[in-house]
Amino acid sequence: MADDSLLTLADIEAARARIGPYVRRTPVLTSDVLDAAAGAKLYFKCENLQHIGAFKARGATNAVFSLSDAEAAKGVATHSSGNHGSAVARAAGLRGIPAFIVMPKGAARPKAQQVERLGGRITYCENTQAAREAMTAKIIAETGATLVHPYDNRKVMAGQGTAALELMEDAPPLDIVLCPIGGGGLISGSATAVKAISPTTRFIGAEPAGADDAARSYAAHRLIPLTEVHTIADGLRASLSPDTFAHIEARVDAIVTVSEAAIVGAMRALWEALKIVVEPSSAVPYAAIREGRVEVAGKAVGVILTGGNVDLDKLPWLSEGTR
Amino acid sequence: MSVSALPPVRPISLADIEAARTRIAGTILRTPLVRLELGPGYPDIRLKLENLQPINAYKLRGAANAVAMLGEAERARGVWTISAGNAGQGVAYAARKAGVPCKVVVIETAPAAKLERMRALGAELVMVPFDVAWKALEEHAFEGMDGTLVHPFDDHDFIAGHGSMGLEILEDAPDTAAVIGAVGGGGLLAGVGSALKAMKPSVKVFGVEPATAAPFSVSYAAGGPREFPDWEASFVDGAGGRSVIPRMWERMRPVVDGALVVSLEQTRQAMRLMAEKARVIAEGAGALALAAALAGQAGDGPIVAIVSGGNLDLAKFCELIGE
Repeated sequence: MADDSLLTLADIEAARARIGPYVRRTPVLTSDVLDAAAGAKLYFKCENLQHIGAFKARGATNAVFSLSDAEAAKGVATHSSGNHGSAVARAAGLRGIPAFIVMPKGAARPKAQQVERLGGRITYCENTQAAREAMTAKIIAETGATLVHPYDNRKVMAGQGTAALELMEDAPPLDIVLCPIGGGGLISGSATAVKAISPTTRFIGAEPAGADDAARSYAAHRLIPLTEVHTIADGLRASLSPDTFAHIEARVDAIVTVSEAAIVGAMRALWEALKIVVEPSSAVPYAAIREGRVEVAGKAVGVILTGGNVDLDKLPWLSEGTR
Repeated sequence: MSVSALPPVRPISLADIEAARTRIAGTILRTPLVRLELGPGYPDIRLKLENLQPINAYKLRGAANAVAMLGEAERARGVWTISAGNAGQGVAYAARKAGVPCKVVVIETAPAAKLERMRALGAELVMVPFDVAWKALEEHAFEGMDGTLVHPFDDHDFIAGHGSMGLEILEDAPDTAAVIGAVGGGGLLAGVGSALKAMKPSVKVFGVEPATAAPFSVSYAAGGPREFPDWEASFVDGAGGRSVIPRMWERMRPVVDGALVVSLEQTRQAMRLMAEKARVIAEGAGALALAAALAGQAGDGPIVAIVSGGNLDLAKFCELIGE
């Protein structure tokens, strides 16, 4: 595939310069306990420690700060009940422009509160993809706001890639880098950065077996959207876009899937060993290592931990009897 | 060796601390200092995340410094320490990294997980009753140990290593007005306080203890080292001793501006808040400083709350933060 239509390292470096003042350079953590269990050296890039608790702050900030003043004045809009909504609200607040966030009725109250606290203006709609898109289109027609799609947006994709850029600088040379796949924004930017810096590093995507559109699409060489989703990893329930799929086809070396039990086990192991709070979606790549889906013995492996927004009263290992 | 034969306490100089910082740079993590986003009406609080160190506690700083200062002959004979907790893990980790043999005198009732972790780090364990370990701590000696003792708190080089944290704090937040650290043995406060007072004397340095075990507070009020009369064990097992050791009092007194006390309930709430807002796991001792800051005991800030460690059983953590 011709790569000249895809993101380049220059796009990601430009994103880094643009968002530098507004995002954290998150730490890379190591654990002798997890290394011993894996028989490898693992380097965890902790985006759960990013502003709003997720890497999404990077892409949204890049998109919002890439707008011209005239565009920006009319605000930005997105539909997301999760981390991207908070990220857009925060970025818009930093630029001093309105953020219109469409959320489904019944979205978790803490998420709505976080968006409100960050100055986002929430409009509620029915909980279907069609209703969300229709409501967002209506708001855009009324306000002239610019849509900031959670992943099908080159500025967002480039911004998400900045975490991998930092990982490559802060860790020793890596044989493998892993990240999870939802809509594909993170992996598009990350694989672009990693492959440009170190072409021999293998880039592997990981997703839940219950939301495996990327694995199926990758194997079939054509985009196969999800028809059914069953996973605790709520950040990974989106389907790829044609553009993110093109990046994956060109730059990702393998895609592996993991079971739900492996996700929960990996999440717990990460909490225990690293003393950090990560959400289920974050744990998917480490689950792939733990479940033996990726051959890591003797290798240096980078793992992007994507976020840490969880309901502390509904942790997956807290069943009724053990509370 | 009797206590009177120990070398006299001397001030920890800025040069000692700067040299330590250079020595330990390859072993420790330069931990992030993150702003806790609480919204209006709260003091400006930043968290120094020492729970993210490779052994999940600040003790690695001192241990790495003490080990790095060994001469060739001393390296061959090895090091030993007395601790079943974070200091033991720190010395074992630093020794293994430096290729130095390590023995640890531990209380035979210490939790199996902690003992296992030290064994995994290559340490040879010597199990003794509590009274024997305490005597070894006081006398700086234990029958049959011929290597260099790295005392878990009463050791000049160990404390100088902790001081490196103070340098990082002022680099990342030059506007810091107050720093709060937990008091157990007193090494953390002595080291960090020495660095802060040398660099920026106007910074207020506070020690904090749980209300159930607050000998430093009693000593501070009395103007000399005292025992705590009604000592009670609690989940805050990494801070709050039965008494302040006179040599540690001598080290802390010149560099500390006040002694704070928080309730176990305040500590528990601070643990939950950190999990929610900073996405990190703190042990009880690691949450004392934030609890004091939230209670307004250290002014309006900017306050740095040192999150000293994150080593506690995950099930216990979940139980404590459950609502």
